[in-house]
Amino acid sequence: MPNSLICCTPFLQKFPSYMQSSARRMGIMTDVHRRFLQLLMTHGVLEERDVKRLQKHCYEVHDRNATVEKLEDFINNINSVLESLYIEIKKGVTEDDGRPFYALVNLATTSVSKMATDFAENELDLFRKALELIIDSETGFASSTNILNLVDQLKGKKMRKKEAEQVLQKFVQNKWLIEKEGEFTLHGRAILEMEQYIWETYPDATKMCNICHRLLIQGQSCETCGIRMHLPCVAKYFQSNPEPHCPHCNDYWPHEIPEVFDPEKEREAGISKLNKKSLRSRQH
Amino acid sequence: MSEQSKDVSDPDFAAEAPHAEAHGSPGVPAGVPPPTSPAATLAEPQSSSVGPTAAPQAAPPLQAPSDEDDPKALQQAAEEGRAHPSPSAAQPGPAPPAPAQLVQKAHELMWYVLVKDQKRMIIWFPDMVRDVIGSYKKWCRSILRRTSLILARVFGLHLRLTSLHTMEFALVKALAPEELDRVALSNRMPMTGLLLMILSLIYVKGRGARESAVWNVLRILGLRPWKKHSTFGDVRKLITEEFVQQNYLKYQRVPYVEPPEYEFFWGARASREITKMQIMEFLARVFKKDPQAWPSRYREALEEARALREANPTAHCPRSSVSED
Repeated sequence: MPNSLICCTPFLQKFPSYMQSSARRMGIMTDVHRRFLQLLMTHGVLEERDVKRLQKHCYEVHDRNATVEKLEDFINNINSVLESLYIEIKKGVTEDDGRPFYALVNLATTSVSKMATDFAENELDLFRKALELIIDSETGFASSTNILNLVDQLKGKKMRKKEAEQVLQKFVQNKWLIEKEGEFTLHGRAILEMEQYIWETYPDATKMCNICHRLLIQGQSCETCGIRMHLPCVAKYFQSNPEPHCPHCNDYWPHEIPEVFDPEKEREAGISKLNKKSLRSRQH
Repeated sequence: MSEQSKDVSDPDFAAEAPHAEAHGSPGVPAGVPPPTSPAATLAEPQSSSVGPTAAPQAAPPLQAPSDEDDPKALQQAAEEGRAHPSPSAAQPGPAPPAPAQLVQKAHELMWYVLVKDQKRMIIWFPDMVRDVIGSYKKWCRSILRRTSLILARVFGLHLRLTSLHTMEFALVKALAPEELDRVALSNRMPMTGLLLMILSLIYVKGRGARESAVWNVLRILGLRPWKKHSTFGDVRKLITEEFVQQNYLKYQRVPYVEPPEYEFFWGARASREITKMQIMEFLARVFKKDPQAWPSRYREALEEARALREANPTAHCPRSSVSED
């Protein structure tokens, strides 16, 4: 029986009935789950392999002899407790290479103001402007120049371009935006948290993936009929298909088909990189 | 999530408290001693009344476990404030909100506190009132209480009032054993390694470490004050500003020395989160020596470990916790 500083059972008698059902659900929260949540919250967003490591770590600390529950079930169990708090551990997939990741998101507010704890009014407005440019763009990327040119239109305190550059970097560090060669797109975490808000706010400009029907920022499109697909969705749909055709108009699919993300291949690549690193460090 | 209705009086919150205004500021008077335990805060006999709200069933019994220490202290301070009715008490207060709204506010506050902690920002009570509680200020005690309860039971975190004077809160881990969880994921390791290096130096010296001494040590890692590092960036800024801001280090001018020199000390947060034994283990790994190569420090670490075990008899034995990948 794992030791727990917070022992749930004595409470059940004292609470009035409407609280008892949530208290009962909280009965499944053990220190393993609590530590997991703490650490997930600390990191904000984590790749799946790190999440698995994290889960294992939590078991090792609190409940060594228990079998590590399957991650999906583990997370669903935690989510059943979080439901009444309007937060959820959500799983997303990066748009560029199909990597699964997890983030603890707040479901209660879906607007940009959820970032309000971290950013000033003019910074939030800069994000909104960048978001609009990204959604309107064909590629899902907005150039730094185009974003910075909007600096004069920002609400709140006047912001110089130099300052705006740094704010954009702050967004990247906080995993709201990704930067590639001077252009910005939405981080997977931002898509996860703001999907609802984006649909509601930009119903005409928002693009959708033809395969998974979720919000699409980056992807490939059919040059004939214009439907779009996420890169990982393309990879899965056309996997081992030598002659890919558009699922909508059946025209030849002209783009390079990416590889399906394989966590095993990732691990091996990581290990060989690590070996190279440790060899180099010994030369100091 | 931020409350748009910013109460004008809030920036002067602390100043207003002794006046116990009729619009029901929960009065955190400066005269109350720091809450070390619920019993110690106020000598006045406490009414067992559970809260001012129209939702008395929302409040758990006062004999709740110790994770209620600090919200209870605020509550007691508020009772104290309410014991001195102001002349304008005849004014009718606002209509009490539905219990569901208070619950929602508690959930918003929970998220707010979690995000502030995640960003390693200060959790300041007036900010909480301004950004989240807003017009529900009068019920902020019960909101705070519920939030603390949720944080304890779901996240295993204590929402602790760390300083009544500055009205700062902190999220403290309630789980034992306390460990450097950051090391569980190597992508956070670089920062921790750097910080541990400095903390170890200070610990071994037994007093503050001069900035020059710190840079001598960091030189071993290939770090220089004027050079930008690929992982750490501006190292000098990191250790003299960011780590200080996060309360892991203290950076102070050495008195009576010209030209001015600065030295580093352990910050309050480091003292809370990092044990001496962890430092000894770190040193042992970095220098490939036995921890007993620093005999007096090792003895100190053992004593601290013993004291921690005695304070926390239900804890598991702490494993070797500092691991570098």
